[in-house]
Amino acid sequence: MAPVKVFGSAAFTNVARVLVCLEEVGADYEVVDIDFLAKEHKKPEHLAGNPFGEIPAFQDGDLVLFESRAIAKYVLRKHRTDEVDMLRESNPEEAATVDVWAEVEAHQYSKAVAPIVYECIVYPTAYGIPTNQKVVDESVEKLKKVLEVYEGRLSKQEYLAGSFISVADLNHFPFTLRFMETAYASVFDSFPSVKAWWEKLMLRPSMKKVSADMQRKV
Amino acid sequence: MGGAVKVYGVAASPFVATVLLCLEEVGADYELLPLDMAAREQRTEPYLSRNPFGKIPALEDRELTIFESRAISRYVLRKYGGTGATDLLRASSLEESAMVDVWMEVEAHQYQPAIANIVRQCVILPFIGGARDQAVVDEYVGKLEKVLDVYEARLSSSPYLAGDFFSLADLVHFGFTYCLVAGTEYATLLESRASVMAWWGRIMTRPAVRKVAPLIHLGLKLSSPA
Repeated sequence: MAPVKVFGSAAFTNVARVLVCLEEVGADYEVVDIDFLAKEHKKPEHLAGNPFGEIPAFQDGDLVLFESRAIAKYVLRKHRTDEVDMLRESNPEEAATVDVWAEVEAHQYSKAVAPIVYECIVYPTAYGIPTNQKVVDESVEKLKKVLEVYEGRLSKQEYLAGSFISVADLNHFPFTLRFMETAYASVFDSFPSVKAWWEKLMLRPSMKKVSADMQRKV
Repeated sequence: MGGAVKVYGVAASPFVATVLLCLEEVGADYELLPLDMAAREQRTEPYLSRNPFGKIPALEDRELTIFESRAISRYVLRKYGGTGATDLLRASSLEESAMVDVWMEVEAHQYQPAIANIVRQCVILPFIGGARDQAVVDEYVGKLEKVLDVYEARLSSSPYLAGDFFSLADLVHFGFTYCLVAGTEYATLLESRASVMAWWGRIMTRPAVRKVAPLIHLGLKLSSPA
């Protein structure tokens, strides 16, 4: 089997989301850098893979995909085994719980965490734009409310979907890693079950590998 | 009605409509239990035990209680859908199911952020006694136009978003698009794009859609004839 191709480097949170899944299932893959500063992602070759001009795009033989959460599901579905099943699609009730918390990651958690990461890290370092503290403060308050719900859940069970790890947990990885690089990392200290869940995730070989890749300069 | 499946929410919500459409598409028995949104019933117990984020819809099916409309939709289709016309997820094909997932993500992260703001300004705010901010409408119309250009290119080579089959990826677009077309002056955004308009026309002929559309129409008191 030829290695699949991921277009965009691990420095991008949405690329890292896909790489974690590839690492979890032990798939062969190749990362193809996209030169963001040269606007390579807006050029016809990349647009053929991601018509919205965003990163990542993904290729497995003739199949071309975009949107990191869709790519993640494809990878996890293709390489599903009895030992490594991050989607649980053969059990509608378990799959539903996985899907619920994957949606929560996309629509509640990331909506709170992403602006903090963008304002504190991405805009100042990549664009020279100063942090908008009002946006950060509002987002931190939103995040605390979300983490209250997570604390309630993770104090009763090991992972978001239940006693098993799933794509719902994995999808939290990239933005949370970047969030921990900001001055607001200590927000997690008030949510001990959430903090324990995060620290346990970070022990996984996939997370260690992709974290190291994310630290390398673009 | 009355059956094993309970849906909590009001049909006027595009998110609730998505779930109702799935239930109708697979022919499942269900009961819609409305909440008093004006009294913020969705933000208090007992509803919060069903959805700790205080949003609609939620679904109960025997011991299972779930929320987030896309997760609910997938569950309904997996549990009660079959093959052929009621297979809207294409789980038996790695490639087809991936395409369904791609265009569901596109709806969530490209389409909805643009269209929901237009619908909020032009339909929801007036409905709850507010007034639209035309500058905001204009900004999001500009964004939606760019998204629809990508859709036009896609749908000119494929009758449905994920391929030559209707899927959940198409279905999740219905609620907000119906509000735009039936409740604002911005139907032109679709009408000016032949492939998008043809796709929309195909969706509007579906029996499930013909059943659910009037519920949105009545619920939001939309301006055009039903």
